[in-house]
Amino acid sequence: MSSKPKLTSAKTVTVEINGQQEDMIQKLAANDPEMRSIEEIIRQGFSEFAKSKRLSR
Amino acid sequence: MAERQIVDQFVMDPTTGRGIPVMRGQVLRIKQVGKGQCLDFNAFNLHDYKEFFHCGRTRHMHGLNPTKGDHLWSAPPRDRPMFTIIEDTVGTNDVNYPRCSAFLFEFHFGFDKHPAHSNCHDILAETIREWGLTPDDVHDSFNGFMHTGVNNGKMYIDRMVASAGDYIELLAQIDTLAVPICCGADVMATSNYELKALEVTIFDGDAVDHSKLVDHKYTHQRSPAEFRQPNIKADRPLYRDENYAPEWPWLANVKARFPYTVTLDERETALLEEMKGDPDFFGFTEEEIVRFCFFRWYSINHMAGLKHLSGQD
Repeated sequence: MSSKPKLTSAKTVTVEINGQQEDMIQKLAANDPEMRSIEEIIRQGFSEFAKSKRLSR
Repeated sequence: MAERQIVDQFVMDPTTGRGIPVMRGQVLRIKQVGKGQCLDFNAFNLHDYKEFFHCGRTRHMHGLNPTKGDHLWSAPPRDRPMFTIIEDTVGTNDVNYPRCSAFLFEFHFGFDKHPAHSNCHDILAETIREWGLTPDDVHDSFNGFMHTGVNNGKMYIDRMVASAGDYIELLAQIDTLAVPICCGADVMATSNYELKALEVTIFDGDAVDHSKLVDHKYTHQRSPAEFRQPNIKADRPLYRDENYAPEWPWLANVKARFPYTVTLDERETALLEEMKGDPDFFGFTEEEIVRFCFFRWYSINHMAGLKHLSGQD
């Protein structure tokens, strides 16, 4: 049996953040060596934490 | 290397203390002369007594049992290191337990006669009276050598493990009134049910000590010059300021909403579906799950100091 997650279609999720949170992420984006956007950084954070959480279960 | 020069040295009898100026760069050594005595320690900014040692901030920065390399912090909004623990031969200190008081000995053990049972609050209050301070100025102590822990959410006091010759050294980061006392608890395990003396030595720090002085200044470590109400209230009743108009400078930014649309690939979408079934995220929307995961990731990877996340520190 494969333990791979079932593949589903890509989707978009709109995340609202407040001004303070945006300031923090903007600072991260401004110093990002890969010059990623805020959306890309949020996506990376979600993806990495979700993967680690899955592994820890 | 030249030896440190002793500025002052004395022994505190059991259940006594002394308030002593310890200037920036000087070192305060508290040494066991018997088989293990708990130290209770208060500290004030020598030039502004309203800045004082804060267990809570120290706990936040270093955990429940600070030791060598950790700072003793002042209360918000000052939020700065008052002392640094530069030596600790035992490694059992506590910033979780509040100072013992006469009430506690009456409540727990029935000591209801006068004078009160010896207790740290009253010893500290009597000690700082020499400096014009009141019992209300006593604050929770850095509990040196106190061996404590937490089990299932309940704090406990374990047996004292320090012995004669053990010591801690505190490097003053600012000019302070240091207030070391010998804890008065003889019916708790704090000092193994026997009260003893402690030796106090103040040294002029040497070059090695001074290399551990910190000078960083964060923007929001605030001094009274930055207070909107800088005057110390001198009477005890409270009166409303009729001219008070609240200012919440962060409120507009907190209320502002900035939408970011994140495009998840197939694998990430599958992860999101899995998270929706995770009991930790019961009742969360997809947006809330993505936001939560992102900020957790941020804390793990980019937050400075203790992260305050399970299993991360």
